[in-house]
Amino acid sequence: MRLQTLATASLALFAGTVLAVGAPKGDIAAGKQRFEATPEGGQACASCHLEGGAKSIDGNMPLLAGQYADYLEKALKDYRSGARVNVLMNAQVSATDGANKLTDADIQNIAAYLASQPQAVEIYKSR
Amino acid sequence: MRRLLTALIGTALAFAMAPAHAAGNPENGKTLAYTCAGCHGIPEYRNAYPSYHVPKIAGQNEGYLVNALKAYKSGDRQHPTMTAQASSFSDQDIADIAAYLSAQKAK
Repeated sequence: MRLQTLATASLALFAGTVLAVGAPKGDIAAGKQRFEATPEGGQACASCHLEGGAKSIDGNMPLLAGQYADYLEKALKDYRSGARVNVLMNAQVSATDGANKLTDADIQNIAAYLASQPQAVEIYKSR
Repeated sequence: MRRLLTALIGTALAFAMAPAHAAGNPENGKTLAYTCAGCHGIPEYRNAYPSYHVPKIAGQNEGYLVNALKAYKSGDRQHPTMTAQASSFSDQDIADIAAYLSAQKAK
């Protein structure tokens, strides 16, 4: 009986975790604003990642529209920490003077905004 | 002089923007990309830890896909599975995979 209660409780906890992870946490409107704003001494995200991430000025840059929010968050945080190396993005996300540095909330909001856009990229189905 | 400078800058830009990789063969890319679907083909599929979705890659920009795979290969990007995958590919394989995946456009 106790075991059953414990099992139910852990199942509920597990389900809660899954739901919490799946739910978008960011503020889409704030993310759009941050994405499009030109910070002092910096470049707006939107000046390279065009049309809400549906296009880019250069094929060497990724399309971001409709990408998973949690993946985008991971990418931005890795750029910020330097775990992911790209000269342009490292500078963009964590400008040395701090003016452009994205906060955790900025990252969450931008990711939520991009994920809310119509998909420019899709799940890969081998055909 | 000014015109020459403009022309020079234009040329430099053209070089900078040009994809720095060989043309990919999408047919071969399709064969090589078979393994990708094991993770990138499953809706809502997540990495075990830290838990986040495996990115959507179909229809992604070709040059970016090349950059991503090369970054895993060089260590500029870290992910155990992707490092292992990318390390097994030649530059031509990477070009082929990118040519194929980028053509799998969103409808």
